[in-house]
Amino acid sequence: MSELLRIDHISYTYHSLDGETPALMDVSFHVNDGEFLGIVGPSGCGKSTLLSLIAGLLTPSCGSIYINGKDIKSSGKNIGYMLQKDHLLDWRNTLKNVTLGMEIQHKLSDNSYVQINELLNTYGLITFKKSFPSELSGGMRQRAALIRTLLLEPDILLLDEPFSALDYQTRLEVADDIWGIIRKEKKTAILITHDISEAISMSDRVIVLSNRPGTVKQIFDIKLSISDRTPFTARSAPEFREYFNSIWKELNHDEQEK
Amino acid sequence: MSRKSRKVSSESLSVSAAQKAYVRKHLLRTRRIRLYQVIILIGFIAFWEISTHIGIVDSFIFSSPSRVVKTIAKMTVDGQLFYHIGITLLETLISFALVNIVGLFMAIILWWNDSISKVLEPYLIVLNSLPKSALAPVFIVWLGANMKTIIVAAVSVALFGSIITLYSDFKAVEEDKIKLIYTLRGNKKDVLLKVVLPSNIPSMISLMKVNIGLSLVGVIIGEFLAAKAGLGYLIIYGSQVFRLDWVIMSIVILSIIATGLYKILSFFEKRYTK
Repeated sequence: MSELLRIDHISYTYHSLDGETPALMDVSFHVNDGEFLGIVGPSGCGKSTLLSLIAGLLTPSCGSIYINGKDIKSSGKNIGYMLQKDHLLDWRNTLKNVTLGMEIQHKLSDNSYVQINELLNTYGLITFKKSFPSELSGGMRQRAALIRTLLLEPDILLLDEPFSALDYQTRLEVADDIWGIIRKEKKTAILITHDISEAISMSDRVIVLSNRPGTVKQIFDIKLSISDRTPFTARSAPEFREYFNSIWKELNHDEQEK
Repeated sequence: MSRKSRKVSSESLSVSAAQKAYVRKHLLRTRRIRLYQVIILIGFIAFWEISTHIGIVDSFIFSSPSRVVKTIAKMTVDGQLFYHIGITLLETLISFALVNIVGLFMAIILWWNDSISKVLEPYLIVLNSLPKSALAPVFIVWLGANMKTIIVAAVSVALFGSIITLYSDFKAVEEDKIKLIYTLRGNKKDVLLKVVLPSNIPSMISLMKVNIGLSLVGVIIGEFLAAKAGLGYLIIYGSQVFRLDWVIMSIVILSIIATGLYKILSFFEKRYTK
């Protein structure tokens, strides 16, 4: 696996009239092509800031981010970003919602509908093409949001706690769903979560961030001895508990230091 | 993991007796409410008519339903009625259109540029709270006693509140929806066109319902002061020459127009928000 994304000693500080708040401090790591990377950390440790930086919504106070060795701004690579909630627009039907990104980037042509229908069909939304978001289940909404992102053909997918708004049962289901889609489309993904089990079950590697200002504390390679891995089966792997305990300790260790 | 099946329980089509009774009770109640409403209206008109006949009140000063009807008939025949209604309606609709177009345009500018909105904020607040009838005489001096003055007066009544309401609605759009547009590589124009405007259509329509009423108020104020025609003119002229039939008739017609315009907008609102 070759390296796709490199985060190189970045820091970020928020400024307000009350003073400045350092959110990230000297964060460095890399992501390989086709890898699923999980990032866990206590709340307020700058996880979302990190994704905003990678997505180019914010510019780092210092440090750089490279894709394929080129600076992120000039790489011309597409980065898909999934927010905490699906944020489907209530006044658009499913089809109009999934094409929102293409519409904005002026990529929508008659030919694109073949691909759109194919994706909707594969992920079970074709019969809900004309339905409005209020008529969809939580899982369907999340899938629609993912299709909206995938249609822009992102090289890297950023997932910002995409399941946190769902109830537990739907959450397991949707995590399986989304994970399957990402694997099938062979996308590189970065998942941010505060749920340790979720991170272990979905990721190839897990990065633990410290309290604010966030720094990389530890990186875990997740190797599970099960065949036919999905986020759901991963939870019953023998190593799962071990990873859980080590990450838990790493996070709690941080709490005690405080 | 197998996906859990989402079965929709089939609703039974047969309606129970209790349900029928409930529906019947509801219908009866609705009908009774309507009945009382009609009784109040008829009772009021009858009381008014009778009291002028038996001399409790003077029909010269209080007019009477029969005199109002006669006046309407007479003025319909000679076409005067439609002329006055037409003038008032025209002025109202022009003012209403101007308020909405200028209001929306200004709100977009304020939303787009934070510095402009900060700079203009105190002026908007002063202009909004100022009683606009105080400005009407000034408009007459500047613009003359004509339709221009009436429309400017009417616009001034509704415009500033409209701008402030729209602007704060635009500002209240969920932050994450805006972030979504940026994550899809959109710019500020996309945020405006894909999120801010469409999400605010319901609030724009309900604002229009307020504006149509205010435009009518503004037009009548303007006509009181500067008109040679229109229902407001008819009211003020009628009261000066003691033709109370004209005054009452105009008020009745105004209430019908106001209700009608409001209902039209409610219809659009229902169609849009389903």
